[in-house]
Amino acid sequence: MNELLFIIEIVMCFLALSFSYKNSKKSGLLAFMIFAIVLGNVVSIKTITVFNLDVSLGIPLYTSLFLAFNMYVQKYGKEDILKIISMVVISSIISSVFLIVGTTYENSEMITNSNSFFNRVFFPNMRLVFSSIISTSIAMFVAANIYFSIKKEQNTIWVSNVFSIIVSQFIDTIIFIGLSSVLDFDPKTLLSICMSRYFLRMIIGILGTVVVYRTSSID
Amino acid sequence: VNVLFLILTLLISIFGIYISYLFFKKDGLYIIIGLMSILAMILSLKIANIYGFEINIGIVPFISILTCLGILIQKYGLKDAKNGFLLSVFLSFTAFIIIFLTARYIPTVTDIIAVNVEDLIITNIRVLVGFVVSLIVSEYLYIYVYRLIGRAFDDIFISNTLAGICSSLIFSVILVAISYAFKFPHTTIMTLTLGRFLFSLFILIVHVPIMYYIDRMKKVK
Repeated sequence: MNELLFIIEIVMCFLALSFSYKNSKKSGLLAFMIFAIVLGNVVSIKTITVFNLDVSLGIPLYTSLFLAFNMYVQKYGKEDILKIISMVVISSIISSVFLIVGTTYENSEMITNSNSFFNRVFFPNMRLVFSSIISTSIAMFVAANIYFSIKKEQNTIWVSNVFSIIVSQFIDTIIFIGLSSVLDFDPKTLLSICMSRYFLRMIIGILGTVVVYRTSSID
Repeated sequence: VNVLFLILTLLISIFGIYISYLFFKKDGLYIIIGLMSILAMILSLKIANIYGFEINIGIVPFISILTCLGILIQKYGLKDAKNGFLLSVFLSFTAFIIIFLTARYIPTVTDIIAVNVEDLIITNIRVLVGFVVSLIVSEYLYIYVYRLIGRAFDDIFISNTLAGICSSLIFSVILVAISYAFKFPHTTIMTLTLGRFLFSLFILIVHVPIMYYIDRMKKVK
C-alpha cells in the first residue's frame, strides 16, 4: 500500500515540476522550488515504512527541489544561485512563522477537536526546520557547482544530473540527520536512517533525470 | 491576542512580497504565489475567533495571492497573470493530493503524531476540496474583474478593491458552503461567510500600498 502511494507521490511531484516549467519557465521553476521545500517541511512529520525502509515523508518533494534546481542551472547558469538559496531560506522561515502563529491562535469553540489536531500536527519542530534549511542550502550550493562544472566539461544532462544528485543528496542527508537526530539515536540506528534516506533520494533523483531531459527540450 | 496574530501575519506577508520582488522582480511574485498557495490551504483547516467573528485563518495568504495577481496584471499584463493563476491552481491541486496521500500512508508503529495527522485531514477533507474549488473560481474572477475595471479606471485602489470584493465574496461563499453546509446551523454558516468576507476586505485594502509601491518601481525584464 505505502509503496503504491509513494510512487503516486513521486509521479505527482514530477508532473508538477514539468507543468511549472512548461507554464511559466524560470518563474515556474522558482515557484516550484519554494513549493517543494515548504510542503516537504510540512509533511515530513509522519514516518512510514516503504520498500522495507523507515523514512519520513517529504522525500519526493525534497528531491524534486534539487531536480528543479539542476534544471535551473542547466537553462540559466549559476549566476543567481545564492539569491535562490536565500529565497529558499526566507520562504522556509516565513512558512514556519505562519505555522507557529497559526497554531498559537486561540482556538474557536466551533470546531474544537479539529483545531486541537491542527495545533498538534502543524506546530513546527524548529530543530527539524533549521536542520532542513541548513542541509538544503549547503547541498543546493554544492549541487549547482557540481552540475555547472560537469556541464562545462561535458554538456550531457544525465551525467551532470546524476553526479550532482549523488553528491548533493549525500551531503544533505548527512547534515540533516546529523543536526536533527544525532543525540536521539545510537550510531547504528543513525547509520541505518541515513542509508534509507539517501538510497531513496538518490533513486528518485536518478529517475528524475527523465524529467530534466524532457523539460530541457522545451523552449 | 488573535488580532495581534492577524496583524503579524499580515506584516509578514507584505514583507514577503516586498523582499521577493526586490530579489527576483516578476519571478518573485510567482514565488510568493507558490508559497502562499500551500500556506492558504493548510491554514484554512483552522478557525479562530477574531472580534466575535469565526474566521478561517487562511485568508491572509489567500489575499497575498490576489495581491500578486493584481501586480502581475497591472505591471506585466494579462498573460503573466493567467500564468500565475494556472501555476497557483496546479500547485494547490498537487498540494491537495500530497496532503491526502499523507493521511493515507500506513505509519510506522513508533510514529505517535500520525493518528492526529489522519484525524485532521480526514475530518477536514471537505475543507480541502472546498479550498481548491473556491481558489480556482475566485482567482479567475479576480483577474477577469480587475481587467474589466482596469479598462475603465486606471487606478490600483479601485481595481483591486472591486475585484477583491467580488472574488472574496465568491471565495467565502463557495468555501463555507462546501466545507460546512449541513454540518452547522444556517446562522453559523452566515456568520462564517460574512466574517471571512469582511476580514478579506480589510486585508485587501492593507495590501494596496505595497501594490502601489511595486507598481512604481522600475520595470526590469
